[in-house]
Amino acid sequence: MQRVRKNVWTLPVADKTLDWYAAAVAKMKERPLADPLGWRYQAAVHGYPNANDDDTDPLSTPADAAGAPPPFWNQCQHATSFFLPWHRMYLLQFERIVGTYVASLGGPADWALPYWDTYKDLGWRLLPPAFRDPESSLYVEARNRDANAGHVFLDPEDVDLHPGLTARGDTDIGGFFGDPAPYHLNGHEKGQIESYPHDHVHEQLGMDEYRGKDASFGWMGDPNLAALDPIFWLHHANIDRLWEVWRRRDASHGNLTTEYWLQGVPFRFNAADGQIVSMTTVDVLDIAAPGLDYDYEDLSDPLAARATVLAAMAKTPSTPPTPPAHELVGATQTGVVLGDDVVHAMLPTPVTPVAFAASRRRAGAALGLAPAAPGAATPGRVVLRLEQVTSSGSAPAYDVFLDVPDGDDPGRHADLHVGRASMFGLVQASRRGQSHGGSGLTFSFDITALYGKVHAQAWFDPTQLRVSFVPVASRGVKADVHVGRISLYFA
Amino acid sequence: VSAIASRARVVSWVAWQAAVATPAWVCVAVAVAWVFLLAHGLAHGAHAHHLAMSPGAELLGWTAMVVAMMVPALPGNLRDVAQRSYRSRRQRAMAGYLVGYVAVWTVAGVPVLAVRAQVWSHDLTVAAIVFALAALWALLPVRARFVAACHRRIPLAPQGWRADRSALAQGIVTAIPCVATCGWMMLGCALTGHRLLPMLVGSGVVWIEMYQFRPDARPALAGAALLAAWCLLPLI
Repeated sequence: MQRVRKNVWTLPVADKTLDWYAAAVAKMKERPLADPLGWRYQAAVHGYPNANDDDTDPLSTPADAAGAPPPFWNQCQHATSFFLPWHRMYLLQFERIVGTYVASLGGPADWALPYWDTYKDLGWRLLPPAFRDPESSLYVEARNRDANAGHVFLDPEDVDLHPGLTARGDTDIGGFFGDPAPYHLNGHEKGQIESYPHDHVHEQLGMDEYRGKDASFGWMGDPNLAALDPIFWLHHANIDRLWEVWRRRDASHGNLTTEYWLQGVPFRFNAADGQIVSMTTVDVLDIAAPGLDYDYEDLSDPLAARATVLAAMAKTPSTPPTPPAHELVGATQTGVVLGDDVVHAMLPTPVTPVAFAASRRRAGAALGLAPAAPGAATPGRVVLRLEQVTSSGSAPAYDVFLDVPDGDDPGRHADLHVGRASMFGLVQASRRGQSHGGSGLTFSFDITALYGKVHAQAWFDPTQLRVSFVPVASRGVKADVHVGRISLYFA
Repeated sequence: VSAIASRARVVSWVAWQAAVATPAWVCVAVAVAWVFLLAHGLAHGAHAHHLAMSPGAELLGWTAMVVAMMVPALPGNLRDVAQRSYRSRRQRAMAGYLVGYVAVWTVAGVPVLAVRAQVWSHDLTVAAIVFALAALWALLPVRARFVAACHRRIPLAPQGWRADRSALAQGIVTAIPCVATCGWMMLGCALTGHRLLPMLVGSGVVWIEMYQFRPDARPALAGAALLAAWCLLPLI
C-alpha cells in the first residue's frame, strides 16, 4: 500500500487529509511526555530543551517523568551529511504513527503526510489556512504573527531553490550534502538544501516571538522545540521531496557512496507498533522500496525553464567528474560584529584569480598533468564563507552583498546579492560545553556567477572585496552576532 | 557476518580518511615517539613503573606519550586547520596547532611529575586506582561535553603573527578539553611506566572517542576497567 504525499496547497476542497492530521495530532497531544506515540515525545526525538542551559519546555507539566531522556531523543542531524537521511527516517516513522491514529479514528489506511511547497506559487509562501485556525490542534501561537495572521512572511530569497537544486552532489564546501566528518558537531558545513530553504523557513516562522536577547524564538525557530509545531512535518516533507527532485533533475546528481554514510551510523526510532527500530542511510535511499513505499505527487523540476536555457548555453556536463578541492584565497584578519544596522567589511584577497591560476598550473605541472589554458582570469568555482558565526541570543537573518560601491545602499543592488544567512540553530551552536562544542554556524555561498560579474566592474579590485550585511526584518532587536571570519575560496 | 564486515569497512574508511589527512612529518613524529617509548619499555621490562627518573626524563617520557597516543587522533583537526589556511601556510599552521596542543598536555604533565616523584606511586595498585577513577569519570555525562569540545573550532587569522597565534590558540582550545577527557587515563599510563599494553589500549580509546558520531562512554569505560584489572593481575 503506497502512500502518496500531496501538495498541501492543491488538495481538493473536499479532501480530508488535513482534517485527519488535525484529529490525530489532537489525540497525540493527550499523551504524556514519556509516551513514544505521543506528540511531545515525537517532537523530543528531534530536540528537547536542555535544563542545564536554562532552556525550558513550554509544555512542561508536573506529571512529566524525571530522569534521563531516552537515548534517541535530541537526535536531529544538522550541518552533517546525515541531515537528509535522518530526517527521512524521522518523517517515515512519524507518518506511520499518525497513520495508525488516523486509521483508528476511521480514516483511510493510506493516509500520507502532505508537503508544504513554498516555491512554485507566490501565494504558497503563506502559512496554509488549516494551521492558522486557533481552534485547530494544528495551530501554534508561538509563531511569526504575520504567518498566523495569513500575511506573507517569507521573501523570495527565503525559499529560493537555486542554491540547493543546482548544488553538486558532494560534501565539499557549497555542496549539496553537509559535512562528512565522522563525528557530529554543529558548526561544520551545511549542505545547500539545508540552508535553502530549510533554515530560512524555520527561522522566519520563529521570527516574531523574540523581543531581545533573552526572549525565546517561536517554536519553529528553535531546534529543541520546532517539531512541536505541526507545520514542521509538512515543511520537512517538502525538504525530503526536494532531495528527490534534486537527484532526478540532473544525471550528475547522485547520493554519496561512502560506506560510512551508507551504513556507518545507525539511528534508532520508535515505530508505530511501539517497537524500537534501527535504520541507516542505505535503508532510506529508495522511497519506492518495500520498507518505505511512498511517493510524491509532484517531483518535477521547479527550475526546469532555467535548466533548459542553461543546457542550451553550455553543451558540457554541469559538473566535472571529480569534486573540486577548494583553496583559501582571502580572509579577514579579525571577526566582524553584526547588529541591527548595515555593516560593511573589507575582505583581503591576496591570492588573486591570476595568482591562483598560476599556482594551479604549477601544481598541475608538478603532478605531470597537461597544462591548463594560460590566461584564465576567473576561477572555476568561487565560494564565500562566513565562519564560526556565534551569538548569545536570538538574531535575525542577514542579507549578504558583494562589492557594493562605497556609499551606496546595498538594498539598491539586488544584482550584487550573495544570499541570505539564516540564524536557525545559532544560539544552540554557540554554546560552549554543549554537545555541539560551541563552534557556531558556518555558511557557504556559491558566488561563481556573481564573482564573474563583479570581476567585470570598473571598481573591481582583485586584492580585496567589500562584503555588506543587511539585517532582515530585525524589528528593532538588539542582535549581537559575531562572524568569526569572512573568507573566500577558489576551486 | 555481513554486519561485522560492514562495520569493518566503515572503520577502515574512517581510518583511511584519517591516514590520508595526516602530513608525513606528523607521522614521523608519532613514529619516533613510539620508538622512544618502546625502547624505554624494552630497557626496563616489567619494572618500568618502579623506575625513578629525573624530572626532565619524566617530562620527556610524558610528552612522548602524548605525541604517541593523542596526535594520531588529530588528523580531522589538522585537516581543518590546513583547509582554513592559505596553501603557503598550511604546514606552518598545522605545526602551530600541534605546538599549542602538546604544550597544554606538557603543562598538565607537571603534576604527574610530582606524583611520580613519590615512591608510593610506583606501586601498580596506584595505577589501578587511577584507571578505576578513569572508568568512573567515563560514566559522568559531563565528560561527553569535553569530548565534543575536542573538535571545537575558533576563527583563524590568515596572515602574519595573528595567523601563528590563532593556530596556536586553536591547538590550546582543543587540548584543554582533551586533558579533561583523557587526563585520568593518561596519568594511569604514566604510572605504569609507559608500558606498551596500557598505551595501546589508551590510544585505541582516544582514537575511538575522537571519531565517535555520538557520545558513547562504553569504549572509555571498558578500556579503563580493563587496564585497572590488568594492573591488579600481579597481585592475584
